[in-house]
Amino acid sequence: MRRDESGAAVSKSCSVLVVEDDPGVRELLRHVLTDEGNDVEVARDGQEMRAALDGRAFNAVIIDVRLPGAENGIALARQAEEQGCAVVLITGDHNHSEALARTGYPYLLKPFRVERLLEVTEDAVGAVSAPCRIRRRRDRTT
Amino acid sequence: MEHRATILIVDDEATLRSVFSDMMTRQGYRCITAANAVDALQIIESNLLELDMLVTDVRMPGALDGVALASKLREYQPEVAVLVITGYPESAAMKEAKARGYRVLEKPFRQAELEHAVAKELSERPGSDKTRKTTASVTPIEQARKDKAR
Repeated sequence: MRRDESGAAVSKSCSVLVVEDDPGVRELLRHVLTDEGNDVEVARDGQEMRAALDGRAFNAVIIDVRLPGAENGIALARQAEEQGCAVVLITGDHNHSEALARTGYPYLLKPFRVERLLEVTEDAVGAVSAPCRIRRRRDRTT
Repeated sequence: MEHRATILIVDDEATLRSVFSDMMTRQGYRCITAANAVDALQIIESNLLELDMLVTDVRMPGALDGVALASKLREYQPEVAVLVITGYPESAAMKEAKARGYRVLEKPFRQAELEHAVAKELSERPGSDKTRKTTASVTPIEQARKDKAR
């Protein structure tokens, strides 16, 4: 673990790959995660996800369950997991949450709070023992 | 878990958008910005994130004004706080905004007035309870914690 001049532990930002076909949602996720200080890349589909994972390591991959084409998000989740990444699924389909729960992957139902995204991603990363901590700005309560 | 309020800021003037965003980020809020009603509508209709507040200019290019945008957002997220900013307090859109109960801030205003209006609207909105929970979602880790606690 890196340490600062005083010897205190310095948390490393998380590297996150977002797999989402909707450009607006993709950029919104990139914005909120980057704004917190994380290192974020995006992919539109399975092909781009695999290319990104071949190019570098990521701590976490956040995947939309519903993707166009033959590969759905759950199939991509398995591929990402095989590469040692923590996986978080997101979906707007509230009718299939039980089926999602059975996959064993953490998931978020839209709409969700940014804190919830950070919390679930951090938990998922912690479960695969990756040495990073999802970045958050200073908290302010409402 | 307590949370930082997430605010969607919509203004077609880049300088104002940036000033508002910087101001509110310094206050500790999380800001998402949109340069026009179309971009804002895309964020709203994606319904990806729970938003705490919309801060929007009324007059923007295109068919949709800030008041219509606020109404659209309330369809998805009825508890969202709304602050409408205007340089034309007597316009028809502003009458509509007031009729709908949206908080209005007239230009020009001081930084403290904006900060006060945002804080007040957030504190008064329905569901402003600090312990408010997000939509259901469970992680295997959380499920294991729950099972262990039983």
